[in-house]
Amino acid sequence: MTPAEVRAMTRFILKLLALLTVLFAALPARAALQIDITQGTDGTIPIAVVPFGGGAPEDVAQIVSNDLARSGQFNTLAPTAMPELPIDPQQVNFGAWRAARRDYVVVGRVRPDGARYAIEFYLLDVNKGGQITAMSVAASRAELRMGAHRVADIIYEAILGIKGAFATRIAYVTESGVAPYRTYGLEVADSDGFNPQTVLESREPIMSPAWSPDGRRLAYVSFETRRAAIYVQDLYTGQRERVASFPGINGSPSWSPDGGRLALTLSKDGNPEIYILDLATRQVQRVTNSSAIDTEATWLPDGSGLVFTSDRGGRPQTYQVSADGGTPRRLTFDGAYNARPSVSADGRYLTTVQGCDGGFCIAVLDFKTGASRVLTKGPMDEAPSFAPNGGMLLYAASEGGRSVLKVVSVEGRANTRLSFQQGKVRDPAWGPFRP
Amino acid sequence: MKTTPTILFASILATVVAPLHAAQPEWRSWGGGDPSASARVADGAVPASTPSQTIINEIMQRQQQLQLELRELRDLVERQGYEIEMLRKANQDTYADTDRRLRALEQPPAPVLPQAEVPAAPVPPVVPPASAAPTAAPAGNEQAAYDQAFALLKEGKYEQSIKAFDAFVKAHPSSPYVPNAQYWSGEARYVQGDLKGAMQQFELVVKGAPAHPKVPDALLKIGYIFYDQKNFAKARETLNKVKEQFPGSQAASLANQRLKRMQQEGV
Repeated sequence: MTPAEVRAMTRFILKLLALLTVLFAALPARAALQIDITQGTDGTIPIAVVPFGGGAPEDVAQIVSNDLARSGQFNTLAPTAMPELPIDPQQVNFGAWRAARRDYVVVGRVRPDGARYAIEFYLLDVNKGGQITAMSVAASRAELRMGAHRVADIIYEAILGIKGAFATRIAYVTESGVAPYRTYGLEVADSDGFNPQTVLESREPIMSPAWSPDGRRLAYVSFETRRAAIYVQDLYTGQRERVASFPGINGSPSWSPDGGRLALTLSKDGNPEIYILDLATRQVQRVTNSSAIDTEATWLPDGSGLVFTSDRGGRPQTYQVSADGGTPRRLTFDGAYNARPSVSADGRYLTTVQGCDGGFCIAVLDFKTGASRVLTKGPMDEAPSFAPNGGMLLYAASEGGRSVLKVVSVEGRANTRLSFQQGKVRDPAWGPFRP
Repeated sequence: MKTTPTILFASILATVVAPLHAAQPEWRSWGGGDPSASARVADGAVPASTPSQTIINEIMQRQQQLQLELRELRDLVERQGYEIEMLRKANQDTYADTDRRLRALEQPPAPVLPQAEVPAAPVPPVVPPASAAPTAAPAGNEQAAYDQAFALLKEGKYEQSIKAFDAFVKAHPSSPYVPNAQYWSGEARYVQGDLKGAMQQFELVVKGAPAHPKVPDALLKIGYIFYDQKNFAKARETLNKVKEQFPGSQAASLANQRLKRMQQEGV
């Protein structure tokens, strides 16, 4: 065992001990997340999002600018470095922006429209001196940040031709307080970590949230009965249902692309194996069969099979298997440890937690070229999940003893920290595109 | 169980292994093992613990060891399978590259005509008019015969390809492919170590079709053969001819390399 694994084991044992302890009222913990660009952005598209006029209760331009920077595809400009601060497209002096070495400029205003707001914006091409797109996005006060993310999506797609994934949500688990006052929370937030909302709170551990393909439900593991069980919760109605509570381990749910089945890890027949649970019939079908630990199944986007982690070769590595079972095929050969697989929506990339020099890093394997790349530096990077457009990865990390959520662009260029003020944050999962 | 990935395996082991120990605490003392137990059983002596326990203990240990070895072997097999797959791909790429380059050398195998006979402007230069090229485009079986001979060469069946190329030249003496066939027949003979035979073929190319694109290569090979025959004066003369007559060509640069080598070797 590596020191990291020993630490991890210690953490887990402490958690088990906590489970056995009588718990008292938890300290209230309010999460607040912040964005910092922590890496350089060479070779990116220069853009400037000029502060919007109209006096909205949110700094819409700043939200848009942060989104674009976080994607790793753009470099943005702080308002203090801008040559001018126009609001209408007619006011823009393209010469000044050319001198500021910007290729694109965004101007706009947020207009109060009854109880709602209309975000009007113009995307301008500095070199051609013309307009690329102009749109108005409507939003209520509560939806204003999401409206800003939609603006960022439109700009991203207009320039890159790829759908943006900013107006999406993420789920993650928080752990706050010290035993015996520990509280676990299942939270859902915007893709930039803002607007966190607790959808479940428990004195017992919550783990492994997984989004349904329609973005409406979460499947997760909860120990609320002191035993692991899988629950499915509707985020709109709050309704929840226990779908699996077999003897032993009930873990790692993953939704099939058609939303009708869950891949699970169960140990009801002995050691941990992958099973598929049909949500309509509640029948489970065993997929893997080995004396080793098989776990962390995730579906291939076409629903034909699963990728999972197994230590059948002595050390954890990822394997692919048909949904009907059969002989698994090993996928990862770089690094002595590859676990927690996740496949991009286009099926081209596989991300894993890979054993690296620094400990555990996020790696991406390109199925098309066979090339594998390590995107992060470690030392304790965990649980990567792809944005629905495949352009970014969300993962949990440890920085100076604090646990944080981070976003890294898939080519590794930009690395952003969604920092978390208190407690621990883990098991992030990036939700699907929203209709 | 998805907790953090690093604690994943530890956590599963903890949950799986811990209850087993809790249920059967005596495993731990067995795990310590008495190294002399098997010897005593084999000797038929009375062991300290009951014989069945000792045997179970031993079976357990062996089973664990076998499982460990099995996993190591699986890792090895998986890695080797992967390496074989990578090598196969690399091999395929190399083959595809060689094939592509050979094809590039072969094409256009369009007839090469003496300069004077090339018709002027309006006619596309690669398609000679019927009057200029009595054979015109090669007929179907002619093409097939040439391709077949060339395929044999690519497969490394030199003996057969020599026969096929020679038969081709006999059967289609006016084919635009004749210099190509003679050249490759020469190459095949050269590979076989038949220097004299190879020389003859290359000379046929140089003398029979002096404007053919294969001539620089044929002349280069003649120079190589003289070198192999230790006829260094002739070799130098021929290689210099390649340099002078076809400056800037691949053959010229190779000729230059060989000349330099000869200088170094002092021959």
